[in-house]
Amino acid sequence: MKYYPNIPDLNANSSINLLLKRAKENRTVGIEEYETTGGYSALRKALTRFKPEDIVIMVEESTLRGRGGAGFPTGRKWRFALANPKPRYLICNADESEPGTFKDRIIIERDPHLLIEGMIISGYALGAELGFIYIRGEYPAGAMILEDAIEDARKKGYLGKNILGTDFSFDILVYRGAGAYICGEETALIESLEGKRGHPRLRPPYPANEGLFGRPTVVNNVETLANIPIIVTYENYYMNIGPAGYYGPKLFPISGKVKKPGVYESTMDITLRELIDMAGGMRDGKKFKAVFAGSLGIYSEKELDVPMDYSPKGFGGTGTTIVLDEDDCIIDSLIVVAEFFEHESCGKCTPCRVGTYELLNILKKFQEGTATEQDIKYLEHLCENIPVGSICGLGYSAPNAVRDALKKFRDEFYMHIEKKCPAGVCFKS
Amino acid sequence: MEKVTVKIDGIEVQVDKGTTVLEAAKKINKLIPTFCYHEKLPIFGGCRMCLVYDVKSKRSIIACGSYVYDGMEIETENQQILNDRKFILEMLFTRHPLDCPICDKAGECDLQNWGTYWGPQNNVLPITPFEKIRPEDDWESDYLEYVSNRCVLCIKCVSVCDNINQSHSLFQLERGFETLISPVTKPMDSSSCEMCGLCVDICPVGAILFKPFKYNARPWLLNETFTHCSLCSLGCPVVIDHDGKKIYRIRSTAELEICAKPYLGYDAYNTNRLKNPKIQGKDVSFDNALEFIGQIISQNPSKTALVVSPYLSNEVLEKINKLGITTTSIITLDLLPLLEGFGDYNPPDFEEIKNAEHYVVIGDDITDTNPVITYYMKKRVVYIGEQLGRIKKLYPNFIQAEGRGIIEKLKENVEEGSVIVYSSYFFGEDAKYLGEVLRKLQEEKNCKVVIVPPYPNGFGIVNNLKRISSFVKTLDKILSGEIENLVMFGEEISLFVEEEKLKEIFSKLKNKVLFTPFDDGLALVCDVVIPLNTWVEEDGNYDFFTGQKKSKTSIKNSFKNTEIIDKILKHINPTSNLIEGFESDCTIPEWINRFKTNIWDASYFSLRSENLTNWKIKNQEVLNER
Ligand SMILES: Cc1cc2nc3c(=O)[nH]c(=O)nc-3n(C[C@H](O)[C@H](O)[C@H](O)COP(=O)(O)O)c2cc1C
Ligand code: SF4
Ligand code: SF4
Ligand code: SF4
Ligand code: SF4
Ligand code: FES
Repeated sequence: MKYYPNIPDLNANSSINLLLKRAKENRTVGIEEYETTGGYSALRKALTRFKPEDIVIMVEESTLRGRGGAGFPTGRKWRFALANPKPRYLICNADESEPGTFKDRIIIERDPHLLIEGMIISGYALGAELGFIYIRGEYPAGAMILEDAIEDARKKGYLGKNILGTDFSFDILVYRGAGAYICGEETALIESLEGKRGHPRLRPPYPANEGLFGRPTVVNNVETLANIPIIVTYENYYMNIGPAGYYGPKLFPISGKVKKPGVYESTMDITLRELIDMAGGMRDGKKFKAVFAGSLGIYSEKELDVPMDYSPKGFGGTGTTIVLDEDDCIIDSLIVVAEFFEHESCGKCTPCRVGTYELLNILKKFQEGTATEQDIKYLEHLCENIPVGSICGLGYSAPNAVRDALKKFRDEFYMHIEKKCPAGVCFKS
Repeated sequence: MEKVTVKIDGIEVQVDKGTTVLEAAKKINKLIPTFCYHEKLPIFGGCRMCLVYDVKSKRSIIACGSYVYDGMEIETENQQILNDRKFILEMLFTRHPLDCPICDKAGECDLQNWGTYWGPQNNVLPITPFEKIRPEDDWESDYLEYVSNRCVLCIKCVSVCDNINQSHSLFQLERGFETLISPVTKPMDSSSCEMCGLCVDICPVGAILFKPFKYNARPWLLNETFTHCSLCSLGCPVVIDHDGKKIYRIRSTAELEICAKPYLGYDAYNTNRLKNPKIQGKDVSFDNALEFIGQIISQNPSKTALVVSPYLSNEVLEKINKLGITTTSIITLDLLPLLEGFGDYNPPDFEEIKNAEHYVVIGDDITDTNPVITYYMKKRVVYIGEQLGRIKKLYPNFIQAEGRGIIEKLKENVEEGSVIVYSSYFFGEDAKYLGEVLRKLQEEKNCKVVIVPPYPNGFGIVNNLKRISSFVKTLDKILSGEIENLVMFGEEISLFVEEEKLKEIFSKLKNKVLFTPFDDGLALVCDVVIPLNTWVEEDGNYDFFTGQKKSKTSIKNSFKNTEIIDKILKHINPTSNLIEGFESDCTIPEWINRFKTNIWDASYFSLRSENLTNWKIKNQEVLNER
């Protein structure tokens, strides 16, 4: 087997063995093993038994929602693109850069053919002849693995001209990003693919109408696309996986103060509390403090029973779960998140460009002990206004964590004004 | 076109489908503040200054990048929008140095203006002046300067450089709050930068400065004259900022058409100007000087010849007819024979030309002679000729040829429907032959022929003078003693006749009379010199490629070119038994120079500009590379 550098030995476990069927151990599954464990049978089934339209209907009925963060129904997104003439493009968004998110890499690094098979079937359904995988620059091994897997798939006739002897042709190109979170935003990704600066585009037009090089384009997350072979394999049985309306497997990347951080696969009827238990519960018998849900916000102890689904009150998003315990300081953690957004804001629009910068600066005052009550007002002022004029999701969500913290951990702000840090991170008492 | 009805602040307005909210608002004179929008640039939509309220979707949307739909209701100044505007301005002001007193843009700064109307009027976030700093970027230019602290990152400068002049000289360095606008190549003065100043003019704040203008004037104390640049046959619309005595800058209008010749070269008009007439180096009154000239002409009209400059306005040219003496011009060398070969020439529409699929450029380097037309052509050009000047800027498909070979190659390489652009290069018979070929290509291959002489009013001479004699023959007559007095308008003769030959010609003359704006150069060797107004000092119409257009007076002098000729006329009895008609040059002797056709010394104006001359030295590397 080929050696690929820098693959972390992540924990991975599953109660349902769908997405992580082959990916629980830290090794890359080659094409032969993939085939002998049922791989590419969904593709064969799709190409021989179904018309593209059948697949689209299947995906619509599956209730599959995008796993890239926005949770948009995948079937509906495909419909939009299908309403526009060919050529259409399929893009796999593998830019995975949100803080605490590492679920896509496990599919890419351990079971790349699952993604590739998903892309080929999706390409078939969408009438696309070319797909792109935009992978973040910090996943060099992932890019190599995908390149090799694609080559293997080509050799076996799963990619290229006349796949499996049908008149369907499809190929995939891997494109490495250059280290910008914003290039995970689908329109910035498209700009980047076109060789331009990674600036989100104004919408409308949406990519489904005018995407890559002005053509109708579907951008889907790695995990979303990895669900496609499972949907085709299980057909109606897919609707037995998980709760009504939110069918299908979901990956949850958990990090922080749990016993076994890693990627966990489950149906979406579990709660945040159960998920933390899946990861072995709190480490060192420490008391739970909060969960940072990537860029979505903060959950406190009171909210541990939130369902991990895409309902309005559900956890949603990418499923990213960063667990904090009593030794962690909310302010300190907020600064880490704020630094991330300040650094990653593309700078196209004023509220996000300046707002994320000022947000960080005010937060730092709480850690430095120079903050006053007025600064809480300033934070609220920024949280309220930054999203209004922002172009993309980065600006919308940049203040989320601060806003939640101001609601749920407000006393910690006041304590920091008094130069006290309950966790002893910012000030030693 | 499908119409939709929109309500903006209660006022109904009917517009075409596909109109933006901002354009619709403009129709009813509703002011919506903007930073990143410009009607000639692609929509960027980043500054968010133009937020308006969409009543139906209950959201703030950007006016510049949102399209109207039927039944749309927009509020531009409700409480939410006023709050939004205040917040955007607050964000732009938090780290802005507020150094308006020493900022060149003060008085014409959008941030200042919008801030006054809609800004928070106080420091919202507690940022001290010491914290108002951003990283800096030295553009390493003698002409342009970037003040990052003032930049609102509207990206219009990059956009104008990418989309209008297409020189792609600027880019965004870094990301987010740390973003800086930076030249692609440093030092900038030897880069692809056109020195058109569009980035300076389009910057809504004082973040890009034109160094020669810096600290020189407060814009609100200057008069602005909207006029047309008369430095080549394009006649771009420009604005001259002046105080009636001196020009402080020449800049672009919203049309965004300007090149370095006026932008950098504005200083020529303030340099070494001739104020008074002189006879043998001594100041004399206008009356005396003009009487003297009148005497020369009337004493022996058939021994006197006139050379007119294609920089003269139609009004002046028209009057020159009345002098009734042999008149010639350098256009008999190139433009006239060309038109003779071509026949009636009607220039195609400029707007149409701008959007052509591809161009065939022949002869001289039009990136130097007529820069603005080349802004629109990059990467779509077949160039046939010698590898001249800076033509590489167009990334042309290059076909090497010289002399008549160019015309032969042209015939072989022109595709159906091409746009053929030609400034100058061929003289005499060659020019005539080219004219014939171009006519054929226009008719047989449906080509559009664009003739853009390097000088402004060549067509004006053709249209307004009743007769022109051959340039070469006129000079021959001086050498043979047939002509003794030469009255020159402008300095072309010194650019087109080899120095030794010119000395010889001048040695044969009894009277050398020169009308010139400048108190140097040829003025030092002529017997009588009279001041001349340039296009910035006297109203005048010019027959540009883009049609007849007017240049307007910025600086008022005590005299007028037209009046000067009137006064000469008083002293002569024009008998005018000269035969009307045009005589172009056929054979071109060795001692005729071809054009010095580059931005820097294409005309006797540019030659005088210190800015252009210094830039040339800096740009030499780029030139040598070619
Ligand atoms: C700032 C920002 C970063 C994003 N990064 C990613 C990413 O790394 N991976 C991803 O799949 N989606 C990311 N998204 C979401 C994409 O814009 C897009 O919604 C998603 O790729 C669609 O795929 P899905 O429908 O399969 O979720 C990001 C969005 C924003 C606003
Ligand atoms: S919201 Fe932020 S990241 Fe998104 S376009 Fe605006 S500046 Fe860029
Ligand atoms: S002066 Fe003109 S060419 Fe030079 S950077 Fe500015 S816009 Fe671009
Ligand atoms: S320099 Fe001026 S034009 Fe360029 S981005 Fe900054 S503010 Fe805009
Ligand atoms: S292109 Fe010609 S008319 Fe236009 S600004 Fe330059 S010199 Fe003047
Ligand atoms: S003017 Fe509309 S966003 Fe800048």
